[in-house]
Amino acid sequence: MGQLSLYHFLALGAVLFALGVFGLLTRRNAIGILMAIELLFNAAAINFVAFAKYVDPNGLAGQAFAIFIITVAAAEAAVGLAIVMLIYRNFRGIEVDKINFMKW
Amino acid sequence: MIHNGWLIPLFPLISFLMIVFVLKKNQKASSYFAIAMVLISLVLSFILFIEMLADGHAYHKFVNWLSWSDFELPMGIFIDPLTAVMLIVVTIVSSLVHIYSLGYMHGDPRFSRFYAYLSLFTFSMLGLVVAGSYVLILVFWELVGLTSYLLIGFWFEKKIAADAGKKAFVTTKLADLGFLLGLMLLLFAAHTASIPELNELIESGHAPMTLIGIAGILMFMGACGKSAQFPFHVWLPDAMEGPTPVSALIHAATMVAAGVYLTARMMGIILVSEAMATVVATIGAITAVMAASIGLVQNDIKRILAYSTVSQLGYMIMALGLGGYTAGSFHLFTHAFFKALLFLGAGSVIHAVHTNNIQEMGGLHGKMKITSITFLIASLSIAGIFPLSGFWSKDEIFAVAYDGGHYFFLAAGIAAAFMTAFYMFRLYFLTFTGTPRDRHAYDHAHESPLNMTIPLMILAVLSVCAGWWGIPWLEHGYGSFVKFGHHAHHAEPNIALMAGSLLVAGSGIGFAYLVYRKKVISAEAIGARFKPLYKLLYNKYYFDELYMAAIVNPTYKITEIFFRFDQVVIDGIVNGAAKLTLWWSWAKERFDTYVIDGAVNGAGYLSLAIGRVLRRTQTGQLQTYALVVFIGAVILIFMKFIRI
Repeated sequence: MGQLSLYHFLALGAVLFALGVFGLLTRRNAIGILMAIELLFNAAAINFVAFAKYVDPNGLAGQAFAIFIITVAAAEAAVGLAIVMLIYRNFRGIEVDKINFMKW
Repeated sequence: MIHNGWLIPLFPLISFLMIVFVLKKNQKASSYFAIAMVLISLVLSFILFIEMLADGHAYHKFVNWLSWSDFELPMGIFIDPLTAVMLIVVTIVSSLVHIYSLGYMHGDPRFSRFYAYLSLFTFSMLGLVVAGSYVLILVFWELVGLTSYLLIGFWFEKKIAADAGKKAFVTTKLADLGFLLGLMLLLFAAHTASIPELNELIESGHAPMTLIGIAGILMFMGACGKSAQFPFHVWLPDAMEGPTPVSALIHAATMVAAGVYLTARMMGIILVSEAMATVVATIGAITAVMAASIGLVQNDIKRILAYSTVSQLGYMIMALGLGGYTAGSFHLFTHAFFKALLFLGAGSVIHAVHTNNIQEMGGLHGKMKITSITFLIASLSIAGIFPLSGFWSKDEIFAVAYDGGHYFFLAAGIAAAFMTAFYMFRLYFLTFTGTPRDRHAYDHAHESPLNMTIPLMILAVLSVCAGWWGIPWLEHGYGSFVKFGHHAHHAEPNIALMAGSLLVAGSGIGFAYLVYRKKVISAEAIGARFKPLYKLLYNKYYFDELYMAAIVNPTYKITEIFFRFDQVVIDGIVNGAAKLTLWWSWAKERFDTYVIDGAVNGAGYLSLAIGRVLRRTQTGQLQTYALVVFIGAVILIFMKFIRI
């Protein structure tokens, strides 16, 4: 077992991203989709932090981006949950495959 | 008055306008107004004539009528002794015809219109006489032609009268073409159409004489048409279909006199070349002899007189062609009176017996003494019996031919004179003497009313006396008044010639007396002996038939062809254009419907069709969209690496 390298982090990010995409495309529950999106955010944040650590150890840009992502994710979760609430009120459910009134 | 000569034609014009616009409903007023106006013209003409006798100088006044660049066309009056004489002749004859028509046209439904036409006719002729430029002459010339057409065809209900008017108009119009061409050539060659200027130009000799000569011949053609000279004489006998007073006016003073007057006016031009003068004289001689010979065998009283007019006009033209300006115009002067008298007398006879055929008359002397005696005077005068006016003027013409050594023309003149004497007295004897051949017509015959016989008597006096003005022994006679150039015409009185002409006239009358009065010689026997000649003369040398075959029928043929051409080609083009337009608009309609509308609707349909396909992609499924976004992102990333 050697030391932790950049590729380990990238691999972790990729796995998280793949899980997020899978969840996004497969979950019927709107809350689940929001959670999958959170996974995508965090995959990206891990990548930023990993690149910051290994590619530019003296810089703070990577960490700053990670902070931004967390902030945006929080705001997104707030807005997303509000939308879900409204969907629930209007459709008596939060299964996204049922909210297809925008189709042709 | 000389300086105000333009006033003279004005009064008949006023009369014409008044009748047409104001008086036409009132027959009496129309006729009396017309007579009053023409009498004013008569008085003014006499005043002018007397002044001209005292003065003797030609007067002319021109105003500029038309000018462009350096060309000027003045209009005005030209009054010389010939004008003065013509004014007298025209106004006297016209006045008498106006008065005579009161009786002759009595009861005609278009009485007022008749007087309107008479006034217009008189106006045209007077205007023609005082006109000072050939252009102005042409204007009045055509007016004369128009009014003669109207008057000859006055009884247009009769097809024959309408046809006669048409024939007169077309024939003279054909000849007028020559006048018009000649006038254009004259304007081109001499740059002036004014009579005094032209005369000066020719006298000075600084003019293109050849061109002017050709112009003269062409203009003479117009004169031939109006004066019924060979070969344009065919219209005049047919013109007899008009009312008889009109015939008198046409034959004596207006229409036919216009041609002789024009020829006299063109004397300067005619005498430019020997050849042209000979042409003029020859045409005159041919006409004189030919017409007289036709007159020998005709049976219609007016037609005989018509041919006699043609023949006498031939005399005048012949005299003018031989240089006899004085002789020709003098014969025009005297002829006007006795020919007017003959026609008015014939009208009186026709009025009484209601037929034109002399074979149905006879013995009328007892019934209508005034008409008979005045007719006899006129006949003697036209035959050339001493001392009546016809004798002096005819003798003047013979003297011109004799003095100039033109024996051929002298012979033609004498031959025509013999025939004239014969046919006039054939006419007289058949009409007024012997036994009535148509009892019914004879019984109803009566003398005409006074307003018809008084003009006859006045004309009878003039027929006797008018010629005395030209007696060769007279010191200040006609010859010193109406003369060409500056030298008075002084023909030496030739007693032998006078005796000869008297002998010829006498023998003509005597021959007629033997045949038609004493019946010593049978007319039928002579006719049978010279049957081909008789037929030739009776059918007027077949001129009408010749013209019919040579001119009229080919014209009809050509018009037929043109008609077909019109029908087939012109109508075809017109209809074809319409059809083409229809077809074209049909095609355009199709184009609009299918191409333009097709494109517009097609764009709509296309959008609809594309939309119909593409809207399938809008599933409304959130995750489908997410999948598309994801696949898109993957594709973009791959593109980054693969670098397409």
